[in-house]
Amino acid sequence: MTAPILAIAGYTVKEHVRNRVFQLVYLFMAVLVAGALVVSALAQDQRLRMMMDAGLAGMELIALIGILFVTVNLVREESESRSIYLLLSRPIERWQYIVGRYLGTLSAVGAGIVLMTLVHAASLLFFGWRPDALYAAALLCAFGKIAVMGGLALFLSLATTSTPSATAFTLFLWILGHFSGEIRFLVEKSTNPFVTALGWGVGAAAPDFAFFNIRDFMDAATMPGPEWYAWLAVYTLGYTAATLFLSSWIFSQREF
Amino acid sequence: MNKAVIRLSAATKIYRRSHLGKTTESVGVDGVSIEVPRGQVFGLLGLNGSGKTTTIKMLMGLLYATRGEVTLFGKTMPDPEALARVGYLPEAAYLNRYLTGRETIRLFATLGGIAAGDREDRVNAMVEKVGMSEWADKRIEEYSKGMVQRICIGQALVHDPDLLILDEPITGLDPLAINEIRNLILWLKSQGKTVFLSSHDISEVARVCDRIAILCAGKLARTAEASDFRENPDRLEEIFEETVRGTQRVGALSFG
Repeated sequence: MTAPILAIAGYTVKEHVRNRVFQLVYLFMAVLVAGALVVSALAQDQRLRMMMDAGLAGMELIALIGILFVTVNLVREESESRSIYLLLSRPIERWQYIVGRYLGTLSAVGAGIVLMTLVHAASLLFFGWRPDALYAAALLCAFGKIAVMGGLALFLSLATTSTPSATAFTLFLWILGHFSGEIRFLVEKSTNPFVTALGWGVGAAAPDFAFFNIRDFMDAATMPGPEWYAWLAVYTLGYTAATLFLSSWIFSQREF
Repeated sequence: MNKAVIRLSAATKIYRRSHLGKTTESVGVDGVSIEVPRGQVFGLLGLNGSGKTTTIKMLMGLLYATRGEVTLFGKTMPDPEALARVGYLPEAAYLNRYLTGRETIRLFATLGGIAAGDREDRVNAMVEKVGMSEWADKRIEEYSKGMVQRICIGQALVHDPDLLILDEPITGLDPLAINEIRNLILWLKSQGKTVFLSSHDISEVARVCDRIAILCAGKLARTAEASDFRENPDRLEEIFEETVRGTQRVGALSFG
């Protein structure tokens, strides 16, 4: 059961690495080096703070752009080029194709995050940074967000009829995901049943990025407890599994 | 016991398209019944739009029959167990251009269920058989049309299928390549394999097929045995013209 998934994930990684994902990584590296030159004029503590914040935010943004634009075209491109005909004419289930393509894309973007992290960490070390576990936790959160957004983008690419609409919906839900607390507050306080229903629906569909909020811990310089990590893992796996399940169902109805 | 490798029983495919709340229907194939026993080379003839590719896509599980039944090896399609015994060569070779020829054949060997221990030997042997040893480690995007066709043949045969389905296998090929495809079909027949092919080229079909069916506007208009045309290949052209005359969906060109 896993061999077809791994085979599909493997060729997906090769396709992305040979195609375009890593161009974004190189862009990040160039921007990081240029940024380091600019902030080198600042005092050391400010320098580190800026490099840390801008670097983590930049990595997350670039990984998000990467997974979004790759994933919304993941199945569509293969359908338009008709190379999907041969793949689906092999003894594989449709869900195996979806899971393989998703895992391959996530692995390629994950490899990009690792490369960016190496460059980022090296530049921080150059400015006198001492590695800490919070940095690793921040990277874990960024990867969790990317995993969730990849699943969502894949689902929306199959549920909508065009790449622009899938991209727009994914970005819209990504933005809403940062306001999950506010949406919950609105649902609790509102007496209007329409607003309550709408808020509940949007809150259920959009990813809840409150689970990935490492910023409060970084500001307080404290490590999150094990239950925080457990909820992070449960939420990431649960949301991703739900989007992959729905994607597989839609894809199983497709004809080519 | 069901001895037919391929069985289409009153298979019908109706394409439905919805736009702005209005649904339009068009018939791809209409009530087609065909049986192909083991070891036979079966040719499907018809004009453009007659339903040949639709029939083949139903056999491959890429399209679902609206009515009727489509079975391969006694299994209703799409069925992974049946697909494991089928090789498919589509009308144009649709391969992922970022992979090399060897990676492509390896991917399809894996998806075809060849055990890991056996895989590399099978892949290397197939690369050699299709005459691509020198080019196998270059990407598909660097290949000529003939080279892509060879890799496509390799992916169709690497898992040693019992049934080969060829959709317009000689369209757009040069005379040497056509000769190679003809020899391939005859070799498959000598190995006891079943071959199902669609084509416009009546003379080629007359040379290799044991039985033919002619589709007109989605309906099975006629079948003929090799004994009806093998001695005189022009006879098949006459049979074809008699059958399809007046069924074109567009008018004739009327220049000069």
